[in-house]
Amino acid sequence: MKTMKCNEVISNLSCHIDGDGSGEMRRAIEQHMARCRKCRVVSDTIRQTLDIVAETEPFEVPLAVSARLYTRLEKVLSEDLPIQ
Amino acid sequence: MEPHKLNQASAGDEDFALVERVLAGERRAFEPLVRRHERRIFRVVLAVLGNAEDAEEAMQDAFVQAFRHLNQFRREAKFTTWLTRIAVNEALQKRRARREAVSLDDTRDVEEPFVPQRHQNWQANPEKIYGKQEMRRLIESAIEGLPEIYREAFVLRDVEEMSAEEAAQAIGISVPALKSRLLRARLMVREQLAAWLEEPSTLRRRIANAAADIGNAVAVRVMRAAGR
Repeated sequence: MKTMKCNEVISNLSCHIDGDGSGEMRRAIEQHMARCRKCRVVSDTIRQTLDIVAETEPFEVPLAVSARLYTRLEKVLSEDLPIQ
Repeated sequence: MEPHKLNQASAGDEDFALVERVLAGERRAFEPLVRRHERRIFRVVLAVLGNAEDAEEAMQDAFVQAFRHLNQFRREAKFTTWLTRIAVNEALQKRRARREAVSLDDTRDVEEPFVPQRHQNWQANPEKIYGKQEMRRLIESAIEGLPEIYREAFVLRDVEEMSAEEAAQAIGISVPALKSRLLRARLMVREQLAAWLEEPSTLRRRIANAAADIGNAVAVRVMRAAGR
């Protein structure tokens, strides 16, 4: 199997993270990861980033912004137009 | 219970039920539907547009469009996906209009690959150190700092959890282009967060890391020399 360099691994990291690409590519990346601490850290911390992002709830919409949204909707909902 | 606390299946069922009520003539049932999604939709349009004023307008237009065309919603898709696509369209239209007005263009993909600079492990439970609010602020500011083509790819795919195909279609780019932007976005967000989340660097850890990195460099040379 071809030995991959760090930059090749990083540019194909989605294969490792999302399971994209060929099995051969994924195996080559795993083989590289097994002995390259730096690439392993990058991959692990991207996964951690995605976990943190998934757990993070969005901020509240600012009150004034939300109030203006409902004022506009109020008008639209009370119009007598049919829903298409 | 707040909408985001519901599990996805029952949240989807509630969306369907509210849509049915609106279509059956109970127009007011659209309001709880908006309440369930306004935070997410605001985050999405903000990601595409990058400023709160345009985002507010895009969010309003998106909900108005969604209401007026609710009959076109098909149950094969999740309501959130359908709504998000409308919101992205509204935001992109605004962005195009704004760009024509100021002839600004930073939508080109950067050709050079992004090279990660930080190679320390992260602390296991960062929210224990920073707390939920602070973590949220760190994430939001890392995302906000991304150039817009990377920001929208990241928000649609990794924050809103659309599939790569859905996200690419929503933005109007190819799936490979979406994936390449997404990778760069992930690397950039990671780099930003690393500054806060890395394990404290002790001398012992630095020496161990350096030894591992040297060991790897030697192993690579040996393998190359051996023709593998």
